[in-house]
Amino acid sequence: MKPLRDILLNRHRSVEPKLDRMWNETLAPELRGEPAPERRNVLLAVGLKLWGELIWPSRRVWAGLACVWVLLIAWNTASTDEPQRVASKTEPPTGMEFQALIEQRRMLAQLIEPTSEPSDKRRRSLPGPRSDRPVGVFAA
Amino acid sequence: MPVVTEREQLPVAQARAGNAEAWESLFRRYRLPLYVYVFELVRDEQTSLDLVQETFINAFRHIATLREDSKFGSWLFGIAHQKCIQQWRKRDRDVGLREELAATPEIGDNDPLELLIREEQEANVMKLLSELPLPQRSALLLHFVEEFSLEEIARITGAQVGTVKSRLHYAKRTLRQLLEKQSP
Repeated sequence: MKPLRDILLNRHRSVEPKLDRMWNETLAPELRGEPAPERRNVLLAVGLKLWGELIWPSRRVWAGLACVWVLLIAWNTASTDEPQRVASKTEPPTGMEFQALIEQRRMLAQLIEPTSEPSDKRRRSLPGPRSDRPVGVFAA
Repeated sequence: MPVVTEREQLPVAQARAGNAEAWESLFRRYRLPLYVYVFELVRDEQTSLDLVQETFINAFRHIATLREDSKFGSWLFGIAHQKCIQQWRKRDRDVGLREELAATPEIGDNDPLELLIREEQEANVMKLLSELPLPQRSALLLHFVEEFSLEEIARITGAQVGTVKSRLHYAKRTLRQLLEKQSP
């Protein structure tokens, strides 16, 4: 005949080595203020946790997204010209082209210059105050 | 039944001062009873080990909040009990059982019967113990494993003394019935 307490304790005595290991590996270092081994690898633990909880459960979705990105990057790279290639494609202007460019600039300058004049003319053509007008106008 | 009470000389004052040897001594004294209590509530070895570890870490950090050194045992079990509740909440299990027990009628019975169990009855008793509702199991374990008083069990579990008395009564009655049935 055994008391319940003894039965309970005896049933779990096999766990004592694990409890002792817990003391040596975690609790004693914690008490001494030393970082526990697992704390040293906190980044690794966070990474694994993220992997386990965020990425791994939806791995197909993440893999699909990664494929889409790879395709987009590949397509983007293939369709755009590199600056060096573009530069090499561009030929230096010939003398005639240069002359035509100067002529175009001159014409543009002529076109732009008189833009202020019409506004002055228009302002001048506007009727002034009645008191400024010649008397003959009223007589007619 | 061996007397396992807080009257024994425990180096709580030294532990409070941060003495590592004192803590080791307290750990060796309480590790198995605490593990048994937690295991019989959560029923998973790894979870129980984790909870015992968390309980001791909390005890290291909050020993300053312990008012009376003589209450170290019940204080420690109180931390473990809270850890178990957090674990239950995490699992979101057995809530119904806990609520059901909160409404158990109080019975003024402080049965001094000590359960003495024959070897061939052990397996059945353990099975029955695991089938007891959590609050009854908790009260019974605290009563038998550490011989805590009703007041201490009430403090550990956050229940009224009368409720604890009632839970113990029902738990003991159920176990006794089983033992009587199995008696030749």
